[in-house]
Amino acid sequence: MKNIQKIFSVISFSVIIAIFAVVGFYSFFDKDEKSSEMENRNLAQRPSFSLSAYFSGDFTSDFEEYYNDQFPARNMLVKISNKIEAFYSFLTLGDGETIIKNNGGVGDGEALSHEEETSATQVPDSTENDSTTQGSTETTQPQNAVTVPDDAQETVYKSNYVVLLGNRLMEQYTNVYSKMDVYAETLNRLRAEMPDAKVYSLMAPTSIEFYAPKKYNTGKSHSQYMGINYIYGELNGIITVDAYSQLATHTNEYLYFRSDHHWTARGAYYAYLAFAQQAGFTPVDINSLETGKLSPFLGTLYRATQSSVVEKDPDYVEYFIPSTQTEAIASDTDPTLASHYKVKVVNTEITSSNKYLAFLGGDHGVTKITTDAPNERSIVVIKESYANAFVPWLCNNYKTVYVIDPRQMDVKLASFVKSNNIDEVLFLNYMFIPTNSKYMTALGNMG
Amino acid sequence: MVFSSLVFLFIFFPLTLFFYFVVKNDKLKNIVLVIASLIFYSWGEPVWVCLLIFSSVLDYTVSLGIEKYRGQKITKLFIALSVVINLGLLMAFKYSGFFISTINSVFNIALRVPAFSLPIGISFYTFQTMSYSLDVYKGEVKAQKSFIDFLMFVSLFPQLIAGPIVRYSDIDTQIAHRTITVEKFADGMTRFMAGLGKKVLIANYAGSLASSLLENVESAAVLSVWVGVLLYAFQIYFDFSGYSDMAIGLGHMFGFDYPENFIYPYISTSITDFWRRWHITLSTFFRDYVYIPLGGNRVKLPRQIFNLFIVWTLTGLWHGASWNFVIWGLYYFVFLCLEKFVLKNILDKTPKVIRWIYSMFVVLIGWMIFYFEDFSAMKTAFSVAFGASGNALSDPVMSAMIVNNIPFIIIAAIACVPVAKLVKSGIDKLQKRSPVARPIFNTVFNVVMLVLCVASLAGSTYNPFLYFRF
Repeated sequence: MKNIQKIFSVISFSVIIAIFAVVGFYSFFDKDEKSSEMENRNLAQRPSFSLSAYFSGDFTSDFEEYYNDQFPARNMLVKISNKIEAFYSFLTLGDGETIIKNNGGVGDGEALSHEEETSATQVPDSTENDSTTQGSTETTQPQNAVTVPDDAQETVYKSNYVVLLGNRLMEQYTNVYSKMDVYAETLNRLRAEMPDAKVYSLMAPTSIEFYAPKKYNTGKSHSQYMGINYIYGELNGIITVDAYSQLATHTNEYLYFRSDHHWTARGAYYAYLAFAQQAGFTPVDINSLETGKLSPFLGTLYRATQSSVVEKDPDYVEYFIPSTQTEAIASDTDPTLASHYKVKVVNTEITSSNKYLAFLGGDHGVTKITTDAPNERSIVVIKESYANAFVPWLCNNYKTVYVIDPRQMDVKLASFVKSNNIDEVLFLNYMFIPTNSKYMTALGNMG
Repeated sequence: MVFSSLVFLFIFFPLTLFFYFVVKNDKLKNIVLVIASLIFYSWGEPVWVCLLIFSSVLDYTVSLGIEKYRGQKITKLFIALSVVINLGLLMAFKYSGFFISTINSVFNIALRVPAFSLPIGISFYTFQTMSYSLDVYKGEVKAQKSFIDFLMFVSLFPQLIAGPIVRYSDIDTQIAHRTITVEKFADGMTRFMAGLGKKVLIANYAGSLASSLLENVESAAVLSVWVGVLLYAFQIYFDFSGYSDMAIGLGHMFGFDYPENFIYPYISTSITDFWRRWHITLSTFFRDYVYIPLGGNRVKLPRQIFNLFIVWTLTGLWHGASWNFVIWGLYYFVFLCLEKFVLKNILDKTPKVIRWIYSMFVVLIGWMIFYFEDFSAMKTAFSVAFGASGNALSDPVMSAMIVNNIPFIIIAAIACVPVAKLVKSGIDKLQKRSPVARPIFNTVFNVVMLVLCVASLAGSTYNPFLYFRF
């Protein structure tokens, strides 16, 4: 009897040691993969050993990375580990595969490499008429064109506050009033430095405001409608643009990406209609423009969550070519644009998988677009990437459009406006910006 | 190197076992362990391995000196040398930056803050070598004659970088010769796999949830902060006790008996009780080498309180060179004094459940202090948690996230209570009827843990050991 017990005890640990030893031995002789399709990245390769690399610690960390990346049957093991997480968290199997930390949506801005965006854009002729304005001061929240059931089954990704509802990923939004105060104060301060310019503010709501159950977008904490009006209420001498109402009444159209935190060009169009009212020009008709689709597009929120539901049903990027001839140059170092590279207002031949970069080629320090619009109006847009889909619309109506992304370059706004003889200034941001400390620091430095 | 890495499990561990059991002679076995341990240490700390060896040489020499001149005055010089140099190393590498930046901010000056990277495990091995010299000085153990054997004691990889703090007297009889039985080895393997599971399957996951909840405290909902701290409490316990389990298990496999370090701290019914169950080798270390030499509780009340104050300031500081750890230590000093001198009779009469709720509340607040090294973030977290900031009580994303993770929270909570003990006693009963019950259970348990842990390790690059910092 004692012997049997001993034999079974030996088995209990030898199995484990045998697995460690055999797999460990095998791992040195199996073929290394170059890249992983599942993760869409290159895998680490075996580092070469040298004493100096060992004592600097580079060898050991490279070797660990290599060993983890090239471990036998890694893909199968990753699948098992997804199942463990699914078991922990009620996630539907196969969903939430690799959880990558979200960099908070906008991050540092992204742009195409300069080679990808040579020579400016193309074609059609212009139709342009200036027209009248009417100020809008709304009191009741506009009706959302879509209705979202409140008992919808949603999934929340653990590490990034992204909500999956149906096949749509949305970033959770919270009003932080102290930061919104800072935002409004900064705009007021910058505005005071430019007494001669006409200054606008456009705050863009995000998709969770329209496509999620009420608990995500109502009340003091989560209603972007309240947040926008709060900021607008704090502004002095700045003309506010009610993009919200325009968007809300068209939410049955394709206004926001499901895999990305941005709005679509169509979403930006409705904001442009609201802006036209305040700025006093006749907006172009969306149906009159040359248009097309770039697909497939899987954006930032997909990259953050790797949701398989969304992967199976990717977005596309709809674009509209401005009715004017446009020519655009940009620089990340020189606000005078003496040294510059060319960019496209709408790049229809984009090869990057991030198709949203079709608009302006992404984020640059300063961009200058010259059009053949039959007037002398000029405007500068202070923005993050949300404005990239918006700016092409302005090209229909302005002779000169400047775009500044304060994160990419230090520009003193008042002197920029003065030296370039700019008439109008538009601050366009989406609602996450007041809590984005990088952007806010950069914006504050413009004054 | 850490235990919960594929390189350790699939290369280092089988190779070390192979060489250890292939050599027959005890001396050679010790040499194998020394070489393996130095490789293990230098894998993560290739330069500061010389510090470890230096500290070993110092206390090896000092102790031989003490032994040789026992009874003479010069031994005082030897022991002073060990204490001053060991604490000096700790000061220089761990606390110099902290002290200088504190001085800078107090006097508003700008001394250069040294930027040493903290050598891994320095807090553990300086304590081990220094306590050895102290024990030799007090005559409690005999000085080790063989340097290799002494170096093995200091560098032994299972407990080298994150404890338990093994004292020389704990294992002095096991250094020259160890007997390893099949049962002991099998127990060690199961203990190791259980520890690996705690770390990989619970602590890492809890950690990723906790950090996402506590990331932006200023805009967080009240409940997010509380649930975040609860998950952090899970993370730190399973991380640290999992590491101790792995160390004790590995120790068994190589024939060592290490002291226990955790006994279900989250079922404590008082703070005094908590500190008898949490990081036991550290609290007994401070008890034996600081509290008792200061006079312990055989002195007048004010002096006794002062002694406790010293012990808990040092305990806090040991956890990290930052003021929040000092506050954390003093926070426990306050509760321990209260329990010892004021609340003792009241607590004895209170129902266990209430005492448990009180203890866990105090412990959770403690982790809130422990978590935030940045004071302004800590302040914000407290004002949010206690409703002073006016943040919303709950937040839809947070609620959905918590609901999503209920299975995990239940599993983690169950793992905090002595379920393993119940399972063990059940298997002991079965064992009486069939002698293969335990080995069969162990086999199944080990294989399941292995598959789950290796899968999780492969599936995640999120694998930091919290206790690396100390």
